[in-house]
Amino acid sequence: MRIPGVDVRFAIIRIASTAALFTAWEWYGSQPGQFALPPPSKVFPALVESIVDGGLVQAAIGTLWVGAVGFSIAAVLGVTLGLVIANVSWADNTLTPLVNAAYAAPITMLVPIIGIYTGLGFTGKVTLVVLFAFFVILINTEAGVRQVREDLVETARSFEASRIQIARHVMLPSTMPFILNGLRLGVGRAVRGAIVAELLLLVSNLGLFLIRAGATFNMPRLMAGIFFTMLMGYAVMWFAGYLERRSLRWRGEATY
Amino acid sequence: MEERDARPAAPPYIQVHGITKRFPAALKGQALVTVLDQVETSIARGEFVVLIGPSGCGKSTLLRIMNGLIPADEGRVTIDGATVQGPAGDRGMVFQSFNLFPWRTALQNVAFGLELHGVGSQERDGRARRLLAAMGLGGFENYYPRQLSGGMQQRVGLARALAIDPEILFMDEPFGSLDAQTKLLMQDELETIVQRHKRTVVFVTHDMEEAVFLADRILIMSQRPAKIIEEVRVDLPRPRMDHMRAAPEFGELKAHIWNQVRTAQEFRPTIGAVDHPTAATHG
Amino acid sequence: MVDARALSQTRRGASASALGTAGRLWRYKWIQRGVVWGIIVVAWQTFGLIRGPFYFPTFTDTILGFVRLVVEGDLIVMAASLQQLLVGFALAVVIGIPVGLILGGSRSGEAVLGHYINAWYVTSKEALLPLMIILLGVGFEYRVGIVFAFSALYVIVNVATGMRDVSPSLIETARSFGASRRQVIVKIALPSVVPFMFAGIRLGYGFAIKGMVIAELWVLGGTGGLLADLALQRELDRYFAIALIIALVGVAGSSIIRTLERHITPWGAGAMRTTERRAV
Repeated sequence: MRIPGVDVRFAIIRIASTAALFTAWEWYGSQPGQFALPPPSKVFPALVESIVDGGLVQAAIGTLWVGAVGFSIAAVLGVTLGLVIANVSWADNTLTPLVNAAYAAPITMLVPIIGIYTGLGFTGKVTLVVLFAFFVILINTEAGVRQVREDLVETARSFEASRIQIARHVMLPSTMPFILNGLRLGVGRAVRGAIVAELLLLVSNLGLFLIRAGATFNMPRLMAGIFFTMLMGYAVMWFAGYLERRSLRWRGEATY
Repeated sequence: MEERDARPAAPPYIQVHGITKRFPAALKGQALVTVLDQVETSIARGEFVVLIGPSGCGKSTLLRIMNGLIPADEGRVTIDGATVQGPAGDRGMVFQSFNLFPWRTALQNVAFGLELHGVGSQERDGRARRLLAAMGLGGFENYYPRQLSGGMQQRVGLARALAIDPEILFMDEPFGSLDAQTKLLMQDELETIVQRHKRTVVFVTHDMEEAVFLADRILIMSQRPAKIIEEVRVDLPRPRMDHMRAAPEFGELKAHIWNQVRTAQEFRPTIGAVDHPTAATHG
Repeated sequence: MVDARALSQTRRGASASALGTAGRLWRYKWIQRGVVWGIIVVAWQTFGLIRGPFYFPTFTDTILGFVRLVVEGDLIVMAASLQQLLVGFALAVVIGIPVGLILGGSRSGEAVLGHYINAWYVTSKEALLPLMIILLGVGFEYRVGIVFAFSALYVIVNVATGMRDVSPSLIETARSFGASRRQVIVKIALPSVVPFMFAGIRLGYGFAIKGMVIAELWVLGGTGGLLADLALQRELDRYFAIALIIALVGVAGSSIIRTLERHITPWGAGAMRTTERRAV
């Protein structure tokens, strides 16, 4: 129902309302005695300063590295197990309820004991990230296999396609968008897992930056850290979405 | 077909004046596509008119302009002398994909139009119940659409349109997605209803047999940009009975229409047929 | 989908009959579950016995831990956490639904709110902990606030998606009956949004629990504080029991929501699968 292209009214409303909000924030934050919510004029210099002096960038690289390692492991495990569970009916019947429960359960509750099994170092952080990202990848892979249209499989079978050919030419292409969607969601969770690990498990990198700013009541710096986390989230999710779209286009299956 | 003059010349009830409609092209960088080009016609009160033509020619678009669902770029439609500005409560519409509201039971679907116009719940339920019973759906009042077969769903769709006691019934390929047998049954049923209630019907189809069986008059449309290229009067006696389908006259009419439609189709090759902007969602 | 299931059922049946009675029984879902879950419990028990209670409590230890929780009154601590969870979650639903309706239903609403919702979506909510503590303290408001920040987003985004997804042909149908703009919104848009709303509520509930747990772990209060204490003292039997209870609260809550959904949407839209959606 919407007209593509530039929507002037939309742009005006967005810019005006955003400007109004920031003005109000600036005014409120500059009130004498107001300290918990510093105005943008203090937050953004703090953000630029923290980026320029390298502290934030270095912290982000450290956090993302933990996330990336954990994500890679979760991706391999999640896709493999998802494919197995979806194709083996007794595994589906018995494991899916457990997977669903684990998917919905807060992984964070394992933080106090995870050190017992993995130590508090890099392994512990990566384990937490794996647990954060694994289930969403598994569940989406499974859903992808489940929605493969039986009539397409039958069509392939009528051409005497072998099991492997059916898997390669029917199952994989129609499952792929779901797997990629799961992986993209997994990226988001991996980043969250890494931040949780560095806030609660072993304070370091971004977690350390935030905690130090909070503990010293350096509010502009704390807000800058949150803003930076947001920007990092944008960048990572944009990149994951870009990879997803690109791999679907490359396979020529962008639309379903 | 020479008996045309035997009927008294009824005053035109629906008048279509120079209707032109353009849609944005499906492909980027192309200009607008003219779907309807200066369409002229008129329909008498109580007449059953069928619009037929090659697929993608704009039959459904014309129907929606007549009902007021979409505006024309040029020209105007008048009903009983008044220009159509938008949809109105005294015109019923039946859709190809039924478009029943999934969250309403059969009864609530039929009562929808009455509810919009503030009819009390007692009265509208009573009327909806009677209509469903007349359609052979007594006992299915509290079923949800997904629990009904295609034929049953379209009976509900038809009952929903009839419930508001419309002056005009607009039907957009209403039986197009039903199987062959159900389709024949529904055509019979529609004939019975039309005989009983004497309504003006504008009916879009691409099924030639359906057109001949139901119509008083068939308007054949050309390929895009569409015009009405021929009018065929069907003078088979009413009520139409199933056995008439076997009559030689019936076959001749069908053959004649097929000839016209085929000529129209070959007239110009189409690229990316667009029947109506919401056609994609109609399936 | 249904056909595919029926197909695999018969295929499985055919191969199983060769194995006699055991094979026939194996066809039943609950027999399979009994066997596989039984194996998991036995493996858990064995592993626990080998490694000892300070490393990995056995299944029976965990059950006894649950009994101790009940007897020693630790469940009262959990009840307080549950209360904060429910308040935050209720706020998320009550505020999230109208915000979602505005975001998805009005172009101006999207212009005003869309980019903040997006920012909220991509930000790891955990990063807000140090700030929320300074703004709201460590008590009730802080915990409710975190739960809200975790869960409201999913209600908003799903409701908004539902508003954008309203079928154009159903809108056209309503218009053909002369429905006004208001009537289209009340009679078409709102009922079509209901299944999406439930999807958002279910997802939001899961995140509400996640928020509750992390909020209390961060301030070492309530259930979170209990978990931290038990971990330090290596009372892992009770720790495992609490972890299982939290998981059960999640499963139970989401089946309550599902039952509610089936009652409110009897037309059968409830089967909609939830997954996280991308904002805007």
